[in-house]
Amino acid sequence: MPERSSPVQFHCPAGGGALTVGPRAFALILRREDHASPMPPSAVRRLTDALPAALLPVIAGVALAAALGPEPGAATGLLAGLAVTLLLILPALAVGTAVGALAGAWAGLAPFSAAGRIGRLLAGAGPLIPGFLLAAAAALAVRAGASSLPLGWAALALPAACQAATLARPAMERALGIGSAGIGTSGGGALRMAQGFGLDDRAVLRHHVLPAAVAPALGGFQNAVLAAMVGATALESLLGLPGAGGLMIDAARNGSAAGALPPLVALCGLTAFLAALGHVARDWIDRAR
Amino acid sequence: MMTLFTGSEGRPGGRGAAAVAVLAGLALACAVAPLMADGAVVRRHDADPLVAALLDGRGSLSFALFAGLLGGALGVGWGVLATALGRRAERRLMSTATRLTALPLVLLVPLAAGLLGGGVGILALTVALAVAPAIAGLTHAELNALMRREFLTAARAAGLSEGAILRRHLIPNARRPLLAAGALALPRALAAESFAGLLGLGLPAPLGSWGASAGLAARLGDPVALAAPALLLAVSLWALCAFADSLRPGHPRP
Repeated sequence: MPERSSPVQFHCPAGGGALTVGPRAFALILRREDHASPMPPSAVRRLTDALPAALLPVIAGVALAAALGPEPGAATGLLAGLAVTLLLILPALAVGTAVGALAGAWAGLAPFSAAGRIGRLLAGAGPLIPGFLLAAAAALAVRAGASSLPLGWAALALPAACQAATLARPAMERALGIGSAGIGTSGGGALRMAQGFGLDDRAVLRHHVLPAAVAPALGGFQNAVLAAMVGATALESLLGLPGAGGLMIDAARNGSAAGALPPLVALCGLTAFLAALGHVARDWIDRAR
Repeated sequence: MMTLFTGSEGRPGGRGAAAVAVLAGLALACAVAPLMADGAVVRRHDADPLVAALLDGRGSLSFALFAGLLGGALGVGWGVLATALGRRAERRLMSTATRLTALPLVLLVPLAAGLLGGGVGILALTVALAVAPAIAGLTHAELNALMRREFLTAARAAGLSEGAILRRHLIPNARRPLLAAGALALPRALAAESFAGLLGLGLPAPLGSWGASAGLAARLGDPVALAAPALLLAVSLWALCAFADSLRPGHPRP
């Protein structure tokens, strides 16, 4: 930062006149500004920071399974189980959150359009459809002859979509500045900026308003991960899938602590990893914004 | 006059009143369900699916109330202690709560039921412990927001003693946020027990629950038997969430 020796003038935006400060006070202001808005870490840095907290429980779980497991291949079985659980959860969370966030944002933008109605429906239905209940319905459909993987993904994606829509809709309304008298009557920094710079509405929507609505939806990603973890455990147990949750419940039913604790520890690590991915995605959107 | 239910902006909330009406109706229907099951004798498997689900509701709702109150009290106590014990204790207690909230603690409920025998007491304690960190976080956030309100600063500036501030401003204004935070334990407790019941590791055999019935129906491939408990569980979860939401304060009383 260059040193200044001359006084600096600040102008009050509300018309309160100019305020002149000396070089020392200016340096203090600059330091305070730096302190108030530190540069956010990059997405890769954030992920590498979160990896130890996510991977250590997974490694601990696998080591526990190798040491305490009732069968010789318990550690390998747990690793395969974690892969099955990840395969069930990750696509469902990604698609569910993306669809829910877009539908919720659309509900804030055009509440009476078809997408807006879907967004409102998802946002309103949040607490009504817990993942484990959808897993029961999916298990029923699978027993009736439906394919298990797409139904499982749908059962896990729907709660994530509801969560994202619930958060994205008010965020979109805030970004647009929707007050009681319509768009732009209550804040709406992005919209005002667009009007000020004369930008194309569509570009402003895509580059400023939509990210402002989607980023808070990713802020609730951790809750969606927890709900998906519970739903996946129910699904694996009801359908007899060889996931880590299913292994844990089978061991608990047999009263085997040595069989149940390693999958629990490993699932905690998987939860931390997925939550870290959500944080990285939110930071990436924030940076793009 | 202070209204009991408020909307998100402090308006009297129809959603909260509707939630209470739904919960009262459900509780009443579950209470009189034995009379609907072919006279005074309760034979759950002979009853039609709706009556059987209402009979199960007695177990689910009473357990949710018991474990929810326990978890709510634990969580609220945790949050209040963190706020009252000073900065250092606050940091430690709340960082513990935050870390625990990030873990899938609900998985402990079926695990404890399977490994420790599955008595009602153990199940209720596990559910309460699984629910408490999230409630502690909410309580702490509500109390922190309250402590930053201008009227408390004004009361201190006016020279009121800490005791008078506590009695006249803090306790009356904290009652409702704490109640709202604690009430969120009820839907969480119901969901946790239902999840364990779905896996066959919920309430013990003589007590029915919606989760256990839904799980059994899913395993047997019986959509009619699944529909009633699933619907009643979903409606109860919505009503409990809406009730807790309606208790959140609009504007604190100065």
